[in-house]
Amino acid sequence: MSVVGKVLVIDDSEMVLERVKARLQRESYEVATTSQPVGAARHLLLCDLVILDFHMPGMNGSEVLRSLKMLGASSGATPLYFLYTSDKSLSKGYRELGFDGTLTNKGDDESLVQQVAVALRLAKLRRKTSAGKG
Amino acid sequence: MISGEVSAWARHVLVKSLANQESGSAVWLWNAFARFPPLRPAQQSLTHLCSSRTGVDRSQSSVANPAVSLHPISARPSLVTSVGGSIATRLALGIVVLVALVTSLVVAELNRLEWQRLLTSKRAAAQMVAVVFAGSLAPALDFKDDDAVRDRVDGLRVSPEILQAQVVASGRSDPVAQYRRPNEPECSDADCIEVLHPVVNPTGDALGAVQLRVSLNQERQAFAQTRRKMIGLGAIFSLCLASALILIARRFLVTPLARLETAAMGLARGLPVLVPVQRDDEIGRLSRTFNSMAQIIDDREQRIAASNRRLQNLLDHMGQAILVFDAQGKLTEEHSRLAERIFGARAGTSIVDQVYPDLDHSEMEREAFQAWVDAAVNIEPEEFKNIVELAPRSLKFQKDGGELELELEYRLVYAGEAAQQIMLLATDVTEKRRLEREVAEKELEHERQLSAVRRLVSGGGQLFAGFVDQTERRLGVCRELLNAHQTLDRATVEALFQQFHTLRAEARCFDLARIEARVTQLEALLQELRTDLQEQVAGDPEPGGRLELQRGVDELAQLLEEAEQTFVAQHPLGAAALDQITVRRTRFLAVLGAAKELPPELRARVEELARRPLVESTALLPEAVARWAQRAGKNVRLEVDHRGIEIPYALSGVLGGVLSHLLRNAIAHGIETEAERLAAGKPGAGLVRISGLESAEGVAISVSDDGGGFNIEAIQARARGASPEAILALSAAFESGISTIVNRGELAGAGVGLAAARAELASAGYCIRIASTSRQGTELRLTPISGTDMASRSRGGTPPSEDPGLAARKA
Repeated sequence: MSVVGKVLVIDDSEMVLERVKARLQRESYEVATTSQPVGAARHLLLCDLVILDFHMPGMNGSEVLRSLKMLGASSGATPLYFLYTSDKSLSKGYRELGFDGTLTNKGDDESLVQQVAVALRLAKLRRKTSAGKG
Repeated sequence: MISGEVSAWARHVLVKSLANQESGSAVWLWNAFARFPPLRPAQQSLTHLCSSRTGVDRSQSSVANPAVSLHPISARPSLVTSVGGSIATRLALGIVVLVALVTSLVVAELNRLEWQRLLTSKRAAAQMVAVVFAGSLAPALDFKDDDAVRDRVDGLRVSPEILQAQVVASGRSDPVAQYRRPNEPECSDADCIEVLHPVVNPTGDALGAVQLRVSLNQERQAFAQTRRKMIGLGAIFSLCLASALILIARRFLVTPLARLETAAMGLARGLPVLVPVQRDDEIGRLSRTFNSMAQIIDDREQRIAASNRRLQNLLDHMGQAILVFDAQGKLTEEHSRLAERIFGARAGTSIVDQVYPDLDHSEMEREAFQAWVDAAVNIEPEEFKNIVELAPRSLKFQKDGGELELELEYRLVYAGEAAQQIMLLATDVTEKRRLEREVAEKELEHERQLSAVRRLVSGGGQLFAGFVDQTERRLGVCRELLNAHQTLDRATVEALFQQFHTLRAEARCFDLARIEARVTQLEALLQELRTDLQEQVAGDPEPGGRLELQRGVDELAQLLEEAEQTFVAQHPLGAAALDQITVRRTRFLAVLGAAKELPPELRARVEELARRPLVESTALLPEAVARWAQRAGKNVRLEVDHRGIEIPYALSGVLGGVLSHLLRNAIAHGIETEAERLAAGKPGAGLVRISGLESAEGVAISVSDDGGGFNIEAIQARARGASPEAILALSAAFESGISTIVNRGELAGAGVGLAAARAELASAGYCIRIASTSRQGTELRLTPISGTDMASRSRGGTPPSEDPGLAARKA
């Protein structure tokens, strides 16, 4: 059973975005996609999970992540930020880069669906836990 | 030497202590030996003895730490001799202190009395000496003879006990004579006795006084000796008394209590124990009560153990791996056998480690599950149903080199009203999932084949029929080759290869994947045979090759038959599709038109060529019937029998429309609603059946349903100028403008449908009859128009010349 959730996908490839969006929508997730990180802030408040590409023209995932986190913090949004890559070295060092997790096997849609389900569960648990503490 | 003797003695004491499960003596000995280096060998011997008696190896820890070396013995402490905190020690100390105190008090009192007695005797003796001495001085003082007084005083020197003497005369301030023993210090009141006595003459006149100080040294020495004896006796008495009291307390109190203690400890370990009851005092009654209690506990334990065994048995036979974890996320003892087999299920380990032991491949899953466990164990029970949605519901678990697929469920385990534990139920669905995948793959394959066949069908069946014929021929050739050559030679292999190669290419054209795959296998086998032949391998190049090829040919024949059956099942014409060819319509119609000029026999042949299968006119109706029935709020299905029966070309042109009219009418008027049918004892779904019938007059079409039949009274009432005869009334149902339905709707009610159908049929030389009608159903029959029909139609007012069907039939 999928956990219903809202996902924002940021990637410079429109083809990747379309593919990911179609596959995640088949699992009943609400999916927003953008290839322009600058305009991603308006989606932040509503989403549970942000999936970020790392290598994008003009800026890398760390810079995008930093700016998104700043925007998210100012608007009160608390999504989880996951790196989406098939680069194993990046996957291992995601915490050092500031990401909450990593989605591996980029390009494998079935693997993506399973990992997104886990990530959304984690996001909702963290939100629930922080709400409980608050 | 000393060490050896001491060691032997210590050994004796220790063995006795251990036999009595008394650790106090052993500890005392151990500590004593440890303080004296010469006794170290004895200490080591003692350590070894303790190890052998208790079965505990202390070579590593105990010897290194003498303070705890005998701890395992004191793990079973005895009330009799254990050091500190035991009743025995306290009792013994109390007895000793009490006896010593009482004895000391008694001895002190006796000493005091003895000293008083000695003082009194001494004072009496000194008083007597003073009286005698005063009497001897009376004449000298009376005559004031000081010298005589001095002589008498000096005479006291012979008595060593008189330390001082002094004589004073009346009326004189200075003493007349005085004596003091040389080298004697001034004695205190405690060291001597002072006696004062007056000196009087015979007439009673006072002449002076005598003062004596007498030493108490002899009395003190005597008293000291006596006191030593008394203390010694008192000590001996105390020791005896204390020993006697300790022995009595040990026998009647401590030992029974120790036995009870040992029994209680045995009970605590779950051992069946009973205490011997030897007396009827408080201890005896306590022992009896203890035995009763032990018996009750034992019974209860046995019942609990039996209950636990039953529950565990149930748990072990459940088809789920059951784990239970507590508020710390640690596994408890309770688990099913399957859980032990899959997870290991060691109590005390983390549930997260059990479920996700592979750190490399499931880091995120571990983290999410850990977060869920943390949240779930601290949540209110009523919130659990919300949080459980965030738990993983499936798990791929690596086990013994394979992968298990598990479905996970979670339950709260309540203790009273509070939820204290969470139960995880893991169902092994590996086999189920595998079967589901297999079924899905087969369905996919089947669907793919169906799609391929549908493409064939839509493109015409004659190509496929040709392929089937050709393939059967090829397989026949292969069989002949294999039967004719017991040993496969090169030419045979090449011939077979050619047949299979062509067959594979043709099968691929028709998307027959299974045939293609099997032929590919056979081609591979032939390739091996070919290689063997090229390398001139002696004898049969592949002994099993011929048999395998024969099996393959048989299988291909079977696969071909299955493909043919699938094709026939999917084709609207059924098996007839295999016997058809396609010709151009315009050319055929030209032939048909020219047939009018032909002799009757040849014309009949040509018209026979023009006949069409019934299924062509009914192919689209099943889906349409379901749609119409749904709109009418009814449940109706259509069955078509004898689909391959051939109907005249003219009828095939109008039959589809006519049947549509009849079916819509049957749905609207004939078939009842599901509720009405069930109330009438009929199946909920109505049935309409179309059948082709061969008769001497030609092909007839029957349309029957299991609805409520015609409403004859209503038809009669609505038919214009209706005849009282039922047949005529029924015939009138097909006249334009008559409908029995009250509320006209989409399907029927205008009363024009059946009349239009009648006209259509007439144009093809057919008419429609009501073969039967009742509350159980109606059958309409489309039959070729005969002379009788024409007469009936004349009475009904319709001129025969207006019937286009009849006209066509005449033509």
